[in-house]
Amino acid sequence: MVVGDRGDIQFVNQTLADMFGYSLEELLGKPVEILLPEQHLAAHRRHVENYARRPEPRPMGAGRDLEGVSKDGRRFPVEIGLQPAQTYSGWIVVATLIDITKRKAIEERLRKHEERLEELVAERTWELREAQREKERVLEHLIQAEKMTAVGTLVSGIGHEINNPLYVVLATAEALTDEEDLARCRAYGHEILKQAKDIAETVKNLSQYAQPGARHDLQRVDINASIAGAVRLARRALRDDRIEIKTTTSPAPDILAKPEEIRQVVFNIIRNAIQAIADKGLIEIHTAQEGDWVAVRIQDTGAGIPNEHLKRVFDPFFTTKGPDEGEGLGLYIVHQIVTRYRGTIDVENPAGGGARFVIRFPIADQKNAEEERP
Amino acid sequence: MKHHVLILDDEADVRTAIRLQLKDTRFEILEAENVQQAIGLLGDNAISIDVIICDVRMPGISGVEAVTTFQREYPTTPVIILTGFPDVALAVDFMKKNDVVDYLTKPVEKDKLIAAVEQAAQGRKLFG
Repeated sequence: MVVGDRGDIQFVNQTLADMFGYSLEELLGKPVEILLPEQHLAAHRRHVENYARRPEPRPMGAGRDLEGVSKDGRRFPVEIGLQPAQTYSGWIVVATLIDITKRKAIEERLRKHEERLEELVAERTWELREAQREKERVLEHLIQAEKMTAVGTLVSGIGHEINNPLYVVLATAEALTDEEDLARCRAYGHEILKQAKDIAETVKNLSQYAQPGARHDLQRVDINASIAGAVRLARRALRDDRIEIKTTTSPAPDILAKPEEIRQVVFNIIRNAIQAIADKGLIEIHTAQEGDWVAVRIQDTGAGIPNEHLKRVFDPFFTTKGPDEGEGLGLYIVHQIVTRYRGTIDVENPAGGGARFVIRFPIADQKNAEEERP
Repeated sequence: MKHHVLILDDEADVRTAIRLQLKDTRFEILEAENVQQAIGLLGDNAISIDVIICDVRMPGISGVEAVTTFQREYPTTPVIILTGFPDVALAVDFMKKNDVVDYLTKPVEKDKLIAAVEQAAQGRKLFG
């Protein structure tokens, strides 16, 4: 189509006439505006003025989506290319039009597909997150259940640790009621206080251990303090006269965790080691910083772990012990807790005998303090 | 001759508590924190030990082993078990295997401990 500088159609081909449902005669000499929807006219006029001032070629596909209107009033999307030309009688514009109805429809379908795809991805992501959350909830319950089983055995052991100081309190209080010397009364009073505090400490230790971890947020945990707590608990509760527990710690940066879960990890490994030592033995615990990690090594002088079991010790319900000694969840829980804090755990039989567990936790820094929330 | 009670317990506070409860009795108190010390005192001919009060759980050696040793070496000296473990099965086991005269659990009241010690000491007189 060729349009003159007054906006009149000077030349038109059959294809374009068919596109708009006119005959050639109906179009020739008519203003080009009859091909435009009414609400586009004002904008079109502005464009024509601008174009007349600075005529330059506009390639197909450049610029906005445009619409044409056919003789019977149907509107359809068109792509327009413009090519200005100077003739002896003035400016003309050669306009090339393509009906892009089909292309638009395809584009629209593509867009809808994309939208649906995004919805699907969002749905699936949500489902996966839910599944992950559910897994977390189940693990949380399992950790607590395993802990309570351990608490069962702890309580009978702790009884001893409470009854001893309680006995001292009783005997001293008996002596106090008969005593007339004030200085001695004071000394008895101090003794009772000391023993009472000792009992309180034991109870606190046990109840801290028994607490459900779900109630706490992650916090910075001093691994050496956690180990000391676990060792204290193990010494008191699993008090086994045959076994010595030796701890050599070096100062280590904090890790990000729930403190009672770290205690549970260490306690379970100690308990496991005690069960592995047939007669007298030694459990050595060692901490060190290794780059961005805090490493904890727990080594015992027990029988070691048969090579064919090394890969299975962290499996749930894997146990070589009798029914009275646990249900095979202790080390599984250890593994679950360590990996949820993005740590690693390995077990090996060192050359000197026994078994050695090596646990590594990533050091807490400001960044993962905000981001990492298992 | 002076009467003696030998206390075998690894915890000094507990030994002191027993001493306090027995302070107004006719007995002199001897303390041992391990079996070797106890054997040493029992073997001393200059002192006569009427009753042994023995803990069950101690580092190095169990109360069961300790009692077995006492019974073998000094069969006429009565043993009272005083333990923080209120474990019935263990108590029965003790009574069966050993000739312990009493099995008390901590915390025990003064009157009860004194009565047990007196009874044990008199029993010794009868059989010893």
